[in-house]
Amino acid sequence: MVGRSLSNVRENGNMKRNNLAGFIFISPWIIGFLLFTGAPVLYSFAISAFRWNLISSPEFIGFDNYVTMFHDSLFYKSLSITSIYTLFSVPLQLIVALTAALLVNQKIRGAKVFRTMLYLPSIISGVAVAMIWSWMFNPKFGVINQVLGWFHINGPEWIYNEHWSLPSMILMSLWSFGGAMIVFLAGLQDIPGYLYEAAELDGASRFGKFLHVTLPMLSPSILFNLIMGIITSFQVFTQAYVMTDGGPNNSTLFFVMYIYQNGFQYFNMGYASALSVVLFVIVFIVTMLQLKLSKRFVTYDK
Amino acid sequence: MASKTASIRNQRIINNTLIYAILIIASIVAIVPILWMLSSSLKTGIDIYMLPPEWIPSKPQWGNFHEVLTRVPFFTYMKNTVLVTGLGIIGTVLSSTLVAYGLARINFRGSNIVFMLILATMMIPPQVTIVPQFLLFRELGWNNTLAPLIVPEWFGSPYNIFLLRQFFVALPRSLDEAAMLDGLSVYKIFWKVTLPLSKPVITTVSITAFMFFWNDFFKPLIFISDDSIKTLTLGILEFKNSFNVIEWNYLMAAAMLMLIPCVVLFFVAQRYFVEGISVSGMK
Repeated sequence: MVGRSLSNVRENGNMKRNNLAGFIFISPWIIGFLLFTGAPVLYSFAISAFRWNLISSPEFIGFDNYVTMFHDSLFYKSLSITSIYTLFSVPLQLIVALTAALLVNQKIRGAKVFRTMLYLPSIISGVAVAMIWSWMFNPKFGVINQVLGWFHINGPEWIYNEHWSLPSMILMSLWSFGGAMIVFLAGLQDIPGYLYEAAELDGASRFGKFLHVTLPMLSPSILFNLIMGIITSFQVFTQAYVMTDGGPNNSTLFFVMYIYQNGFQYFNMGYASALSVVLFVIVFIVTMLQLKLSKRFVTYDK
Repeated sequence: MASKTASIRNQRIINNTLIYAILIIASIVAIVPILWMLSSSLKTGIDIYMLPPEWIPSKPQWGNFHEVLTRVPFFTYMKNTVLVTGLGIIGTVLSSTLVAYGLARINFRGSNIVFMLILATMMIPPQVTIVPQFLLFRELGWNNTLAPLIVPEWFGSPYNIFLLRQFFVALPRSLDEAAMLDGLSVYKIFWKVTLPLSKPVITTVSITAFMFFWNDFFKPLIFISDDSIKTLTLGILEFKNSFNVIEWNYLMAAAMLMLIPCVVLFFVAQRYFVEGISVSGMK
């Protein structure tokens, strides 16, 4: 009895010590979270109730910014641009990446060389990519329309035409599928061979094996790539800013671009904050959905 | 029987040919933009508008690079970028390692909730908090300095914490237990046992961080306006906007210069690029 309670005391002491040590280790993140994420999000809520251009003093207007948003056609437009981009870019990129991973994973000579070449575009990002593609999309002198010309196809004006600009950006996003490909490749290599052998004994076709072994076993990788893809497409800014400045005719005005314009070009701090709050709520809902989804569809075998 | 094996072999040859064909086309598509940039960066302002385009410039204009380096304060931009990248990497690696270790190896109350919260913050686009951050740094008088690009990175970044935690979780517990029996405190175990074992993952995180800081554009755009404090991404963009008619040869040369460190790093440390990403996708 005595021994037991002693060890209990010690356990208790350990737990307390662990709590303290744990807290010390994670304290950088807690401080950073409070200063640079938590407080700013709350502050955004507060500023969104004001009209403020940074020069004159802020004027309280309650929910007026949200009412304005309700009647603002650019708000809806930017929201739909980001949604359309996400809906197309993310699944297409996953399909391209998975196809590439399946091919590179074959036992063929030179697989590593192909892997490196396919991954190479992914190490280039941001402003440099935007500039390369602006030049490639040049309707007359760009490489894309030149190549199309070989096949006697008159290429469109790409980012310089309001109907083609968003598809152009989606197309461009497919170029950097390397990261997702590597994740799939790692996932593929983790699938134990006996699963395929068992499926073969059951008389599964190639497609059957893909459908019933590969896809379920890859579900954690698919989820990971899906989440990373959604995160990236919600943040698309640099391309739009450098290549089209949101145009032509606002056809590439991504939601975060609209926040930027309001905050740092028109200096409507209140309205920009209200837009930020809406984006925050959307992100929150999407995150919750993803959590639900992952519990339902992802197979973890370990 | 013999004809069956032959037909299987034929089938395999057809399959392999198809796989090679697709892979070769895909690789060409992946590489062409890079070659196009290189080719354009070596042309004169007139040749760049030649139809059909010349893939290998007959007179490579190496002077284009010199022009970029001298027309803008390239080395000032470079110095600022190196400063941000260097201090950023140190800060984010140190802080993220601490946090990840705490989450992975110390059994304390609330660690799961904190981890979920960290994953959730990864979802928040930086634009959501940019207005308040701008106002905060304005109060502090930090706008138009490099501090807003560096200081927030010293508090751990969600993606790096996630990556490191995956690694720490996979380390065998027996290591800690043996060290604990030797009377080492958690802090000493972290410093003397875990860290030395973590060099590969720390290299990976450093590389990821390098790519992030080197290419970061949004924050410099918001916080910096003085030419002497600009980073490369911002400076190069100014360079683009300074033309009346865009001189693509110079722009491609500038893009090349910006990319060289990334490409070199990739070929030196390819293993870490690939491993890092696969570790993160594991679970």
